[in-house]
Amino acid sequence: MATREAGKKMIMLKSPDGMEFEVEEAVAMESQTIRKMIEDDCADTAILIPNINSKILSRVIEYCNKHVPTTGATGAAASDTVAPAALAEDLKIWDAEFIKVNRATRFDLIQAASYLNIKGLLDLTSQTTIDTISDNSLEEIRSFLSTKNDYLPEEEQTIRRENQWAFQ
Amino acid sequence: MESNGEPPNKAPAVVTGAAAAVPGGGMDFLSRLPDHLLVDILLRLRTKEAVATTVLSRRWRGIWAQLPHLFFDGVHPSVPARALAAYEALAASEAHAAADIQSLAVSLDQVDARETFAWLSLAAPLCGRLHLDDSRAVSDEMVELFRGRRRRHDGEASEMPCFRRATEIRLRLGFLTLELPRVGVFDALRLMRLQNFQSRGQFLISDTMLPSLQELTMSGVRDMNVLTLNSKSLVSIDLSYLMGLQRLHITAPGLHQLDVVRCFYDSLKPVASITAERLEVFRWNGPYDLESVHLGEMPPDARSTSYRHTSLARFSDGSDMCRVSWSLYSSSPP
Repeated sequence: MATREAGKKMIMLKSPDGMEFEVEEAVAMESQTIRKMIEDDCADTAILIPNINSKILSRVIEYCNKHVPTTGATGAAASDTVAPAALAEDLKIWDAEFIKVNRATRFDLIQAASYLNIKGLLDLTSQTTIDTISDNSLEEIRSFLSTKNDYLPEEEQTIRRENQWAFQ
Repeated sequence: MESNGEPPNKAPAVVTGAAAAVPGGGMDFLSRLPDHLLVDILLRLRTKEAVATTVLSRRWRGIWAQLPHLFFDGVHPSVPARALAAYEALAASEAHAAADIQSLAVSLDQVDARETFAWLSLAAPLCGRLHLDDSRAVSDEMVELFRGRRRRHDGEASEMPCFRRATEIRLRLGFLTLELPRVGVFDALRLMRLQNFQSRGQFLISDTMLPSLQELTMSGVRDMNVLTLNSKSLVSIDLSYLMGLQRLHITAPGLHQLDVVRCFYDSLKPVASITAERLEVFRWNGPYDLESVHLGEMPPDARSTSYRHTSLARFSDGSDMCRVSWSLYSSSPP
């Protein structure tokens, strides 16, 4: 507990493709999964993050770095004087830029956010997907997601009829 | 045949299964996500939109039937029944665990007793928390009828189905007639809030039917003449605007808080017998005839009670109006 207050304890995160990332413990603990490992003393000097390649892991760390409470963050000396609303606005703009990635990366980020249990990142990545789904017709969604419609025509008609209310 | 009903501009958009080339040859990354992440994404949509994804591809067919929370916003009263039937069928066919709706929230665009009680029956065995709000569908005329205490033509009394698994039920009905079931036990129900309904005269809440009920709120009720509450589990009771109430019987040894506000509209001599040994907060606002209102066994140190607010006002017709409000403070210093 005392080490956390020092704010400088470092943690090594390793991706399965052999890359290592040294991050502040506070940043790593944006992930509830890693937080639990640290709190349960399951983490020694390095934590292997399975299933998340170095490219995605570096993006995730970038996100956590930005979203960690500013007191311990590097290069944010001025942030203490910035009003919270302005700070939130700044984060929103940053998030919007951050999520401008191709679909493959976005869905990798969804999985990573889910595994690492980073609620903010899961919200951001899922919501971006949702905005696609709710603003477009099903055909546009199919096209955008590259979803292959594998229903037979009559099956699709049946499903549409059974759930007619949802298409009105 | 169905396509006859489709708007003409929609027709070319239907992509048939065999002909559906993947546009741009891209990969469908989203469909590759595991079910629980797709569910997590669909939870951010209104249930109606989530159901519409069922037609995207086979991968999506049963995903929405894994949603633990369903939310129907401003839908026709027939929609929840159709959706719940589809939900159950899908959950069964996909061999998931049995249909399990942690919470079901519904607001309807019109009041319809038959449709409403039809879907309540479907929801009863599935649902953990139920929230129905008809208030948007209630017209000014209906409110006037309610206020004026004129009898409106009421359909057959509708019996609430037994929600065995539900822990919370909140119903704001559009002045439908509601009865509790004659048989059945709401084993898990801890909170019940019933608003804007018409009763059939007598209303009984007992340990037998509601063994776990801790919090009861009833508000805006017509024609509930006799209300009897016998409960060991009740901690808080909030009654307001029970328009036709004439007799109120409460036996609740665990009760901490009791509010009786603007009930007994038509009754010159309200009869109330309340036995609540552990009552700590008591608010009564309305006609208060001390000869017929008995507060029963009060806490042993009731004499140390602080009366926060008591006022008596005389109505123009000569009856007494009383506001009593007290909280019990322990005589021992904190």
